[in-house]
Amino acid sequence: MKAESAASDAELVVAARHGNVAAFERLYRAHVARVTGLCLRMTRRRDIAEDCTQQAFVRAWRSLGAFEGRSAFGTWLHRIAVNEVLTYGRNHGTRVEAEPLDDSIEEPREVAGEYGVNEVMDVERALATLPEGARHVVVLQAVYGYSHEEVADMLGIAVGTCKAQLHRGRRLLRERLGMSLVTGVSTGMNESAS
Amino acid sequence: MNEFADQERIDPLDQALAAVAQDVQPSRDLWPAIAAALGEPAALRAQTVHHGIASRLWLQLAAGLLLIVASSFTTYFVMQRSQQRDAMLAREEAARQSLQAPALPVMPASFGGTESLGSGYAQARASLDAEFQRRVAALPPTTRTRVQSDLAEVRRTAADIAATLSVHPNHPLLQELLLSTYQSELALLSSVNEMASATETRL
Amino acid sequence: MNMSVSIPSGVLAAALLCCAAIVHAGDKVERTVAAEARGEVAIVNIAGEVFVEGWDRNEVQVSGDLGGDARLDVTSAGGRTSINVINVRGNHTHSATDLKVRVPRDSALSVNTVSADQIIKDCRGAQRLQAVSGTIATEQWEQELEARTISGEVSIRGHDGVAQTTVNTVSGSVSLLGGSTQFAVETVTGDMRIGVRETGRGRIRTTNGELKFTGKLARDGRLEAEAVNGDLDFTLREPVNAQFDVETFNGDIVNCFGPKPVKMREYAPGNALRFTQGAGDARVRVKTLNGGVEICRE
Repeated sequence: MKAESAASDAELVVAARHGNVAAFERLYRAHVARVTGLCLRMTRRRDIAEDCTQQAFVRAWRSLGAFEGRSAFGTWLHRIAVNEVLTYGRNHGTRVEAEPLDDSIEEPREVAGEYGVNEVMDVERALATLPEGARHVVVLQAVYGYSHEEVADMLGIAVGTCKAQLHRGRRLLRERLGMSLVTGVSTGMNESAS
Repeated sequence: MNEFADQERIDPLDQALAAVAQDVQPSRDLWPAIAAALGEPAALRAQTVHHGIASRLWLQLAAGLLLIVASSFTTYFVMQRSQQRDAMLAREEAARQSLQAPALPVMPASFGGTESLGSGYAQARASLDAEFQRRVAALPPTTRTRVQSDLAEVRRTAADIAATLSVHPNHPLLQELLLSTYQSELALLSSVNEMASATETRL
Repeated sequence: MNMSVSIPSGVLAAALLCCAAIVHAGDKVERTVAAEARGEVAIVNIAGEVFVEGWDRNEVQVSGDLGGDARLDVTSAGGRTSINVINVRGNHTHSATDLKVRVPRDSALSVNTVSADQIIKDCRGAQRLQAVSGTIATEQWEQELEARTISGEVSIRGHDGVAQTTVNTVSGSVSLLGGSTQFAVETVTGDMRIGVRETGRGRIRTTNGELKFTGKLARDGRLEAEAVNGDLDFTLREPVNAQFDVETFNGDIVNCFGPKPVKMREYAPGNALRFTQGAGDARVRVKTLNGGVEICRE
């Protein structure tokens, strides 16, 4: 399925590059949920996330000529979206009050039945409490699966800084989820990390 | 031998993070607003390009603007305060530069005076770097890009540590790791020079 | 004088060689020269592969396919055999040359490549191997080994012995498994897996690479590891009798032996863990800036 969607993205990109707005709309429909999710996890505010998502697609349309196809279209689009989030943060200050996560967030993916809905919601809430730098890195790396190098490049930081932020984020998440550092399982109470 | 197999413990935190929903539908259809914006004039386009430039500030900095050279341990640690100020100035300077291919300038960044740089170290480092620039050009393109990226990474790391040291002066661990990072930089330059030299007549 | 050397398969020509023998591009090559049992063999190839195998003959045999713009230069004098693949046009594009070289097993071996991979088998003399982006895979016995790359992976399988192993890469990953008791491994971003039987003197340094170490500490062993941002994981085989000195600025410290890290300074980051396990004969010193440290038993 991945190969098929990549192939169809490629065809749509070619068409969109030639000014075919309908083709670009299909790209939008295929990718908007993922981009919105990414922006929401990074900004913690739905209104800001949707603004960034909208801007990201507009920029993507204007930059289609620069898309060389070396990465997947989705990856390229995510880079643009991350850029929008960072720009928003610079222009509006980084202290953004988080809204509670609402019910419209999709159900979490099945993970071998090991985590119930409540546990995943705890992770989401804990993620939203992370400081911005750590949150950005954890979202991109641990939730969206990008490598250290890709995350560092997206965020415009050194790979070393990225790793440091990931460490910090994971440590804070364990503390807030009450996970032991050694085994990573919940201890039923909050333990300080070390 | 599979002596590492039992060490690949699955981390429940990783599992929990992987279970977080990646897709979130927007509260409304964003397409009408996007479609309306697709045909807007060049002024808006320039604005978005500017955002792109602004977002690359750190990458430009990472291209080698802030490189801290310490020639001797004692003079370096005396200059921490001016280092912090100069680090900030250097970042602002980076923000004014235009996009260009990453270079590797050797920038004695921040001690506010030549007396803060030991001439022996600075000369050796400059000499190694000049040789490195010559040698690296002869490397295969993929390797050249990788090496330049790694060198930039080491220099960024040194800058980060030095900036941290300015906030926590006289921290022994930071001092030790900063010196170690400088050594890694010199070792990297030397390695490339030596290896390229060993095969130079055949390149 | 140009010589094109071609020896029918199954026929080995053993000859004393005093002058350079040149084989031109596009040739299948096979050449054998006499060599000392403990002489030196030096090989240079830019692209392709270099496969070196130790054998029990006092001869160096070179065979393979030359790339389109390459010539092979073989010289042997004074106990040293040099095998060089030379680019004819002096340009930067190189077609690959694959060499298979058999050397006396106890020869001191030096191999320099750019993008050519190096595979070394059953060479028991000292080795000095350098590759820019090529990979290095070798074995080590009782003589010292030095392996250096920029971006190539290094994989070393050690057999019993106490020789020094030195590995240095920039971004190449390192795998060092087996008998080495004295080692120094340094990377900038390359990850490292080190699994040794017993550590006499071990030194590990990395900027951003990750380390997984498994091994036993010798009675007076010394193990030092330093990372700026990489994580350092140690799995120690019993018995563990060592003094531990672990310090990080921002990283976590996980200690399966019991004692917990303490905060170093009231108003600054930094955690330290110092404790003695068992008789405390060995020393383990670990320092990181942002990397996590984990010390556990096997």
